[in-house]
Amino acid sequence: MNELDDELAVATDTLLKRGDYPALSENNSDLGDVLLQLYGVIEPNKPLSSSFEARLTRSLETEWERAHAPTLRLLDRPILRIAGLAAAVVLVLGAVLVLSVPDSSQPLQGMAFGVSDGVALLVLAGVTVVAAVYNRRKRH
Amino acid sequence: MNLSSDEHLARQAQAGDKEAFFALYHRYLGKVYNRVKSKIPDQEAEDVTQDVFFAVSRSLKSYKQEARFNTWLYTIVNRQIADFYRRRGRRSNPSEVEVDLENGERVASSFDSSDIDRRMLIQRTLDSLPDHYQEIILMRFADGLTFNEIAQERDQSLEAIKSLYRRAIQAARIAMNEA
Repeated sequence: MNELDDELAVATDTLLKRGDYPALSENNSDLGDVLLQLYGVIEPNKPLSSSFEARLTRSLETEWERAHAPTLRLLDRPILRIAGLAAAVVLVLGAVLVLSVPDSSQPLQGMAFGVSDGVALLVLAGVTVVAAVYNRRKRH
Repeated sequence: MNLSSDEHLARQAQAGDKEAFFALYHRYLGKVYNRVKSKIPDQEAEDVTQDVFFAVSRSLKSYKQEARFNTWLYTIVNRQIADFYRRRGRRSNPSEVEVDLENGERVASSFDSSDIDRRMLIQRTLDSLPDHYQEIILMRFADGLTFNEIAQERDQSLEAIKSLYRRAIQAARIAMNEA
């Protein structure tokens, strides 16, 4: 059995080196065709297309750079992202509330409470800042 | 750099070392491509090879140092091949085959149909073999390892490896005859 194993191993080595193999003994002869079929499908000596290799290398480099690009560390933390989002929602709601209050320059009709225009501007500025930070984060 | 072990390079790549990642990529590109070609139609092998390396790049952090790097890599190769056939299974009309209505035959659009059939038969045969038979055939044909190197890699004697290899080729012959 060992001789047959050795013979097939040598035939495989020769096939992979030269593209053909020496005649095999009777007990191995039907295996030679299998070697040829495998060799024909896998084509281990056929070089990789250089254009494919160059294209893949470029794509992988781009992917690597993208995945390892520095990010805005502060907003990388999920808890801060959630807190930021909550703050944005509160500010928007605040803005809606403030803008829905009747103008204080109009004559009073019943009881009124409100916030000054300065506070409204402050709230709007806050919303703008949060939106800008998120926009910047998105672009990164 | 190229003399570093796979596992060492993988550890460096996990830490963000681009050079280490690309050393592994260049070390394994040919082997991965050959393994993919052994199971996938030639004209699609490049796409699947690309998918393999993108998957490696994305999941590198999940690689555990206890496993050999190439074992982990070839698991990804097998997964991508399985994904390819899953996607292809959803398509009713494979792109490389057209139907010749006049002759009522399936013909390949730009390849010789008998060649495609032969390749598919070998690929199916290889895929139907038990894993340890597939692996030894691929290590010799696709990875280009010598029988000595395979014996070292698998921590087995050279005689045992050659005997396993012959049994694998015999199993492939039987499977081809039955197909």
